[in-house]
Amino acid sequence: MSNKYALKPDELKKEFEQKKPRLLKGEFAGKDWWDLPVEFRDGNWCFPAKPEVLDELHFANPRKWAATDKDWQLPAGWEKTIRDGMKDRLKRFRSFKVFMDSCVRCGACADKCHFFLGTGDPKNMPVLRAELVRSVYRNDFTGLAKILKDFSGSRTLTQDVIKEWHMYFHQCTECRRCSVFCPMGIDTAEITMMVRELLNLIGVNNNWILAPVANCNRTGNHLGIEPHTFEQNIMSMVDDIEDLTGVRVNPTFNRKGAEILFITPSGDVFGDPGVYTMMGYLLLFHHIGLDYTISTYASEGGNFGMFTSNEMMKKINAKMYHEAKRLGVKWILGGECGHMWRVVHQYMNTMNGPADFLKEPVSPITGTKFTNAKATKMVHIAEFTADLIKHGKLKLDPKRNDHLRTTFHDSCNVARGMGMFEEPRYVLNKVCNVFHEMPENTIREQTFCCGSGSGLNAEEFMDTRMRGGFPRASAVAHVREKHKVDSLVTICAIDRASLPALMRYWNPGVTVYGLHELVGNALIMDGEKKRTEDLRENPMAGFEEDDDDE
Amino acid sequence: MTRAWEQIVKENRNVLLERWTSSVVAMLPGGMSHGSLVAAAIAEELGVLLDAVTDRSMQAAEPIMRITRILAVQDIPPSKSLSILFMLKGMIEELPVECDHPCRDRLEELTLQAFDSYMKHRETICQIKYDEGRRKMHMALRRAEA
Repeated sequence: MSNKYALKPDELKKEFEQKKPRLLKGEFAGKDWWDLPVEFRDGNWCFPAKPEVLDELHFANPRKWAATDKDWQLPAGWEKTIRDGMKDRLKRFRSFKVFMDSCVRCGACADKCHFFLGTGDPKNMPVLRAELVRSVYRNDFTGLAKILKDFSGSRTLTQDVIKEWHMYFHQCTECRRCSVFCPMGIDTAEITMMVRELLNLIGVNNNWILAPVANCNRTGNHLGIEPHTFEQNIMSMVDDIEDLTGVRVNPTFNRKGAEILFITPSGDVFGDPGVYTMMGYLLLFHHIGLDYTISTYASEGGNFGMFTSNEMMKKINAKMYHEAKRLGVKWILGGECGHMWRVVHQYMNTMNGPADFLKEPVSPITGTKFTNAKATKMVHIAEFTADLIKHGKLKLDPKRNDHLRTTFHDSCNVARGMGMFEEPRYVLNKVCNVFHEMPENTIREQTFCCGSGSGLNAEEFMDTRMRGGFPRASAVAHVREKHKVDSLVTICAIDRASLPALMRYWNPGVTVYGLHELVGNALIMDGEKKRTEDLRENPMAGFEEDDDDE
Repeated sequence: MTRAWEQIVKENRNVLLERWTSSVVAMLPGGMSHGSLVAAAIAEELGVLLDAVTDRSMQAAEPIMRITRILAVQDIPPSKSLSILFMLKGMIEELPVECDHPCRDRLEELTLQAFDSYMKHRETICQIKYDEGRRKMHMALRRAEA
C-alpha cells in the first residue's frame, strides 16, 4: 500500500546520508557499531568442544581449534549452512521470527543485563546483542531492509560476524532479566538459543556445554557417572548422614512400583557443595517416610541440551518420562535446579508429553493436589516442602541454623521461568532464624544471574564470570555490610557450583548453601543422636558437645 | 604537620575527585558511563582513597583493595590499571602547588600497595580456577580416602 506521506527509498537514503546519525563517539566516531573490534583474550572465551565429543554426538566439524586462532577452520559452504539453518528456524519457531521483527530499539533492556553492567561492553546490551543477528536477518530475509541496506542496519554474513556471535551469545546466560523489562515481550534467551543452535551447525561451540551433553547422552547425567558409581556416591552420603545424626536413611534405586520418582541435578550427587543439599533431601524423605525411588538412568535433572539445540534438549529431557513409565511411578518430584525447571515447566509437556500414564501429583503426606503440575506431573521440591511445613508435618528446630545469617538468591529460571518466589522463602524462614532480603531490584522477578549460567561456568572464562556476576555480588555485599549476612542460600545447582567462586572473589566470608541443606540441618529426626554439627560438619551455635540444653 | 600539598589537595578535593574519577572511568573498557554499577563502585572508593592520600591516619588499604579487585578482572592491562595514582599525581601538579618529594613518596607508596593488592586478586582468581578443578574430584577423593 502506498503512502503519500512517506519518503521514497532514494529520498530516504539521501536524507540519511546527509544527516549521518551516529551513536559512537571517541575513537569510533563516524563508524558503525559493528566496526567495534572483537578481540578474544585469556579469560573472555571458553574452550571449544573436543573433537571426540563432537564425534560422539555426530555434531558438525570436529577439529582442534581455539577462539584466538585467526582461522577457525569453518566447513566449506558454512555461509549457506547458516542461512539455511536460519531460514529453517524462522519457519519452525514463531518466537524467533517475532523477535527478529518486533524490537523497537527503545533501550529498556540495555542496562538490565548483568554482563553489560559488569563489562560495560555495548554489545552486551540485549538490544545490541540481538542486533548482531537481526542485522544479518534483515540482509538475507527481508526484502525492503535489503534494499535500504544503509538505513536498515543490514550487513553481510562474514567470518567476523560468526566470531562476534560466538563472543556475545556466549556472554548471555539466557537468564531473561532483560525480557522482564521489554515492552514488546522479546525473550532474548530464545534468540541466544537460536544462535547457539546455528553456531553448532558449523562447529563453533563450547566444551563446557557439549562435554556434559555427550555425557548425558551416554550415561544419563552431565558428569558421565555410570549407574553403580551414581548409587555408590549416594550411599556414601547415607554413611555421612548416619555419622552425623545416628540415623540411617534408606534411599532405593530403580525400584519399580514406588509412588514417586525423584530427579535432581547430578551436581547434587557428585559436586561440592551440592552433595549437602542431597543429604538434606535424603533426610527429608526419611523423615516423612516417602515412598520414592531414584533412577540411575534418569540421573540428571539439568539439561545442557537447552544450550545446544531444541532436538538435544528434547532427547535429554525424554529420559524423565521414560523412566517414570518404566518404573511405574505416579508422579515425579524434582530437586533444586535452575534451567532444569525452565525445560520442565515451559517445554517438557509439549516436547515429550502428554505424560498421561502419570497421575496428577498429590502429596501422600498432606493430600495437597499440585494442580499447577497437572500437565507435566512434576513437582518442585520447594513447593513440596513448603506444603509439608504449612501442614505441620515436619519437626524443625531453626535454632540449628543459628550459626548462619542468610539471604536468598532467586535462581533466574525458577524465578522468571516458572514464577516461584514465595515457596523457597517460606521454607527458609521456617528452618532458620536470620534471613535478610537483598535489594528489591535484585531479587524475585528482577533477580541477577550468577554470571555463569547456560554452560558458561568454565574455569578459563573466570574473568568474564567475575564481571558478569558483579551485580549479584554487589547485592550480596549490601546485605553483608548492612546485616552481617554470611550465607547465600539458593535453589539451583549451577548457582551452587558458581556462586562459591563469585563470593570468594567479591565477598570473602560468604558461603553458599542449598535450601534443603538447611532443611536437613533443622530436621529433628526420630531416633537421632545429639546433633552438634551441621551437614558440612561445622559446629552448630549453641549445640556444642557439652551443652545439655537441647 | 600539614604540608602545603596536602592542604591544597584537601581544598580542591571535590574538583580533583571528579577529574580523577572521570579519568579512571574513561580507562575502563567499553566506554562505561559514570552511572554504571562498576563506575559508581569505583567512584565511591576513589573518594575514600583520596582522603587517605592526604590523611595518613585513614586506612588506604581497604579502598585500594576494593578498587584493585574491580580492576583486576577488567579487560585492561595491569600497567594501565595501576596507573591510577600516577593520574592523580598529574592532576595535583596542575594545581598551584608542587607535587614535591613527600607528595610523590606518598603516591608511590600507595601505588606499591595497589600493586600488592592487584597481585593478590589475580592470585585469588588463579586459586579459584585451581580449586574449581579440584572440587570436581571431591567425591572421587572422598571415596578413595574411605
